[in-house]
Amino acid sequence: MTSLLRKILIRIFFIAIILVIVMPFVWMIISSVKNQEELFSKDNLFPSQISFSNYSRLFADTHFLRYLINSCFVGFMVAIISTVLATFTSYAYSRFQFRGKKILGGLTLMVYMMAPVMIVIPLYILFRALSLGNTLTSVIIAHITFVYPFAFWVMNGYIKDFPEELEKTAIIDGANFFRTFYYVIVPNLIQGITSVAVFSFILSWNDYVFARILITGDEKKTLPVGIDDMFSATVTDWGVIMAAGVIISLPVIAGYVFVSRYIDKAVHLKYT
Amino acid sequence: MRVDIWKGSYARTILIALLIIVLSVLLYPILYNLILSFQKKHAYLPGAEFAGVSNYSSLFHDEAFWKSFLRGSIYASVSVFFQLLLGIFCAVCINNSRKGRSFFQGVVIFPYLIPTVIVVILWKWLLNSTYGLLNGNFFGTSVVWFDQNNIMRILIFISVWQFFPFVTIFVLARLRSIPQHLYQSAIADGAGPVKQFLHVTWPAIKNIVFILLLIRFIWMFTKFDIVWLLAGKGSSLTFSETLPVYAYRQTFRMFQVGMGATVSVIMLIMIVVGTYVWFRQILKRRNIS
Repeated sequence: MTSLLRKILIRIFFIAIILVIVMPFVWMIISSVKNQEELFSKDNLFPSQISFSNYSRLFADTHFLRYLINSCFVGFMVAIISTVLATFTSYAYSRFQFRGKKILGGLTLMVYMMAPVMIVIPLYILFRALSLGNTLTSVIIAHITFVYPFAFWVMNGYIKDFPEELEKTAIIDGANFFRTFYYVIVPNLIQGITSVAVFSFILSWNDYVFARILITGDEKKTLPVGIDDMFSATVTDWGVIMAAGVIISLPVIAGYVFVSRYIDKAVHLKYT
Repeated sequence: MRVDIWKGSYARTILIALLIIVLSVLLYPILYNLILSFQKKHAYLPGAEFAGVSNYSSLFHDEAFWKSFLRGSIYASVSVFFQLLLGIFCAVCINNSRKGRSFFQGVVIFPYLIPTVIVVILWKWLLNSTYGLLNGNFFGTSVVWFDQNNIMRILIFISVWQFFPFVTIFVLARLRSIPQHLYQSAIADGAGPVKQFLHVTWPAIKNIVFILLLIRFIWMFTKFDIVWLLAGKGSSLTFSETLPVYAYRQTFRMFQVGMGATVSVIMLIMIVVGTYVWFRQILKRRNIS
């Protein structure tokens, strides 16, 4: 009896959670394919026919494509640089024994805890002094300051899990460090490297604060900043904004689904 | 002490140097912030002058600072409380279900994954006082959710919606490692769901919940984007100004970089303490396993 009750309660809870979490996304998609009239009508919960006019207007009438290209460029650069740096340094951190190791790890963790708004002002002044103001390069460097510590700690979890014996065998066979790294370590850590790269991309893709403050020109804006400005325009074009929301959310969700097989491990090792 | 398998290799020297270089680059903004907090500097004009502790003293005499400090503390406490409550509850339920477990686990993280800008815009659309699905459209009401009376409530609600999945994912990872036989023997002893939670589940997740409480509090207290995007342009900003928004306003509206930096230093103190606790926990766990 109680187990039946429990089952029903859990079922109800799941329906509630799904409603609360999924409903807003479904509504975003529905809103994006409605025509202008039905979007603001109280009688049409669902569109009578699917219209992609919001999407075509998004690309034709706004600078969305420009923002999309900028975001992709920044995201890929940040993902590649952070992942490569994190793989090497995190390996060094977990395998080498040296003085000040604990402090180094602690400081990296501290940087990871920092909020963007605390780092962005000094960086802003620095980039202006280096005449890097309003460039995508400045955004890439700024993103690395918070993506790298994350990548470093997640990689650390994967490397800790990886048995040293394989490397020892390689050394006995006469391989030097970089050969061992390339032929033994990287292939064995490929799951970890992939998920770190994907999450680094997502972190950069989602950032608002750095891009907002470092970028002033319209042609350099990334998606979150571009959307925010489109949204804050005098008359909000809800249909177009919803279409933009769908397109921005897609790569994030696709990336997550792609690496979700490994995420348990990453989460488990990183924070415990 | 473990043996260093790469002792004597010169790649070892290169990589340690790289570690130190990267860390120095990361620490640069933090140290510069510290210097800025003792300076008087305009946001856009060059030049700066030493100002002693005047930034600190004018900060502590500014009523708006204390108001935003208090408001930020309340915002962080309340939203973290509900994040933990909902997050743990959700994790326990997912862990108990057999069917659809991986599906729920995948879906539950969506709000945390998508950009904050989209989260805020989406909820502004859903709660729009004329056309919102959850307001005028479906319920026939026309509550203005984004005015000064409701802004804090809605801010907390959206923050909980966006960040409780973070708690769920981490608690769920820990729940996985609880051996099933502990539950079986608890059931054999006649323990109901509540007792099972208190005697088996809670001891296992206690540590991770404490760490989550710590880091989520710090991150909510220093969170800028969600507050700014929700209320930044409107008149309701003064009613939802938390400490990071205050720092932003000092820097880019009043052009007093030093004041903004001073606020950052105060938040930094909190982060240093938080990191110390968290890092000790990490070291402890890694040495055991």
